[in-house]
Amino acid sequence: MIQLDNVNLYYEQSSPILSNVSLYIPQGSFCWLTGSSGVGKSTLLRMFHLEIKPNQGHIQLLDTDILKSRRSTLCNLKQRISIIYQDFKLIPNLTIYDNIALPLRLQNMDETIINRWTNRILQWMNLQNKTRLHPKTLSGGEQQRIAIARAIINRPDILLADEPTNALDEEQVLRLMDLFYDLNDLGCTIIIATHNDNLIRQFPAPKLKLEKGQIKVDDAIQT
Amino acid sequence: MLFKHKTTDGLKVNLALPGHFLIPLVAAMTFLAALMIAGAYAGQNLAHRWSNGAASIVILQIPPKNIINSPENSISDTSTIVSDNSNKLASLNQIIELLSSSKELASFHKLSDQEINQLLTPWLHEDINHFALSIPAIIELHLKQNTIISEKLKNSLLHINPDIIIEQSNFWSQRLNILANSLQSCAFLALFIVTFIAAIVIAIATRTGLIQCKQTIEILHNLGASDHYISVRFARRNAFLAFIGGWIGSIFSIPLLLFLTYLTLPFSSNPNWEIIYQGWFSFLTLLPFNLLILFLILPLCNYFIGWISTTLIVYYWLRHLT
Ligand SMILES: Nc1ncnc2c1ncn2[C@@H]1O[C@H](COP(=O)(O)OP(=O)(O)OP(=O)(O)O)[C@@H](O)[C@H]1O
Ligand SMILES: [Mg+2]
Repeated sequence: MIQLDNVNLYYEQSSPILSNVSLYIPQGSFCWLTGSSGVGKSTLLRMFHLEIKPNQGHIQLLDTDILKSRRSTLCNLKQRISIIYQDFKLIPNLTIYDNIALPLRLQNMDETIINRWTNRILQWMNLQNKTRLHPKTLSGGEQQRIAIARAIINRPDILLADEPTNALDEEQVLRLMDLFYDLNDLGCTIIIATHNDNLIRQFPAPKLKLEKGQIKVDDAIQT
Repeated sequence: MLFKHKTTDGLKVNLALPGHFLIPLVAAMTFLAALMIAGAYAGQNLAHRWSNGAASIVILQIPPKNIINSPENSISDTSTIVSDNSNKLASLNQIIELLSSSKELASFHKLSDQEINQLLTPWLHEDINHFALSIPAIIELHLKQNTIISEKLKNSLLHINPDIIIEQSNFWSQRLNILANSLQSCAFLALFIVTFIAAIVIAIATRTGLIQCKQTIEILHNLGASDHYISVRFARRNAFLAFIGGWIGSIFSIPLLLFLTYLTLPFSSNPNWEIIYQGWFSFLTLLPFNLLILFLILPLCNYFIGWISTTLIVYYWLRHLT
């Protein structure tokens, strides 16, 4: 779950991203996050991912008040919340395999389990022949798939995706949405930021519209 | 917890913390530290020697008890000094009894007539037994520490024989002792400063390395890597480099220390110092063992200094990162 209480969020010298916003997203939700370019979608997702703190107000994630929690608690919480960045943020000097296995290794999982899960996901992503390559040598779409694989490999409780379909073709988008629905069925909260209205029409779900520092919840599309 | 395969997290600490910078620097610091420790050790030895040597010796001169001092004889002629053998003996015994029971003394020694004779013959040109005046008894006291004789003991002695002369000629020894102690303090202070500078240098190198790895650290942090995880990755590398630097510094300091030991051994309290001239092997047997152990410990100390200063700076840096 994600809960905001009277949250203000802004960067110095720019218009506010959230002004006095309260919002509750129950655990297991699936929703779109929309808004015009530069309105603050990525910033909002980064706040949900504990990378930036609200300037004012309270925020609770997975029943944890993040402003009152210790660093170690937040660090453990981060392992349950995954993000797919708009610019992927892969580690350039690691192979694709190691990039994907990273979250599991940080949780100190057994290497045989890591191996099994990573290979399975690589196969699913159709990247099994490129495990030893480095991100720089891959296409945008391939890099995006690696970023997605890294985000879902540890079965997070919240998945935040920032334009995850930008670099993918039609068929890959369909497969990816299937994957997201499967994860959602397992209880994962999924928030996808996108500009793509076609996609939203194709996969109807509640829509959070970020506009002028407010979040409008638009359910109409679900009908 | 750390990865079993440490290179698979993308943090290139080996590149971020290059050995060719830290190792020579730490080695130089260790070299200096070794010299400081040797200096402090030498200072301590000298202080010890002086406080156990001349400084703690007190000479008691006990003139034979004069009849003039006995109240019942106060009417007698003051110009005549009559020595009373039995009186003299009684007061001497009393003094020896008092000294035996005193806790201030490590030991005392009453000079025999023969010893006094040996001492005084060159001046008197005759045997003291043939000398007209009676010679005082002399007792050499060795105080336990480098203290001065207490007022209480002094008064007790004077009570037995008011004419007793107490001679503690330790003014210079005390001065020398203070000098040795302050040299030792200076050496420790310098050691502290060297350690502090080493820690600062390591911290600055770490900060540079952190900035170089900033992007990867941010990604790892966002994937849930703890501060502890990142600090251990850096601390391990720096502690290892400091350890190697420590060994090099220690090894380089040994020849110089041998030479200094060779020069200073005659001033030490070691009674066998003269055998240093009998060859290398005899010289090596005289080397202070504690000091050698200390040099083995130096690289370990470096390891911990490296570890602690790195950990502190990484934690500080991470807290200001997010
Ligand atoms: N680190 C930062 N420091 C200062 N301002 C920032 C920072 N990051 C983003 N901004 C500003 O915040 C605003 C929102 O940026 P953000 O990237 O969240 O927008 P967005 O909705 O994701 O846009 P897009 O749809 O183009 O991805 C922008 O005006 C941007 O300039
Ligand atoms: Mg964005």
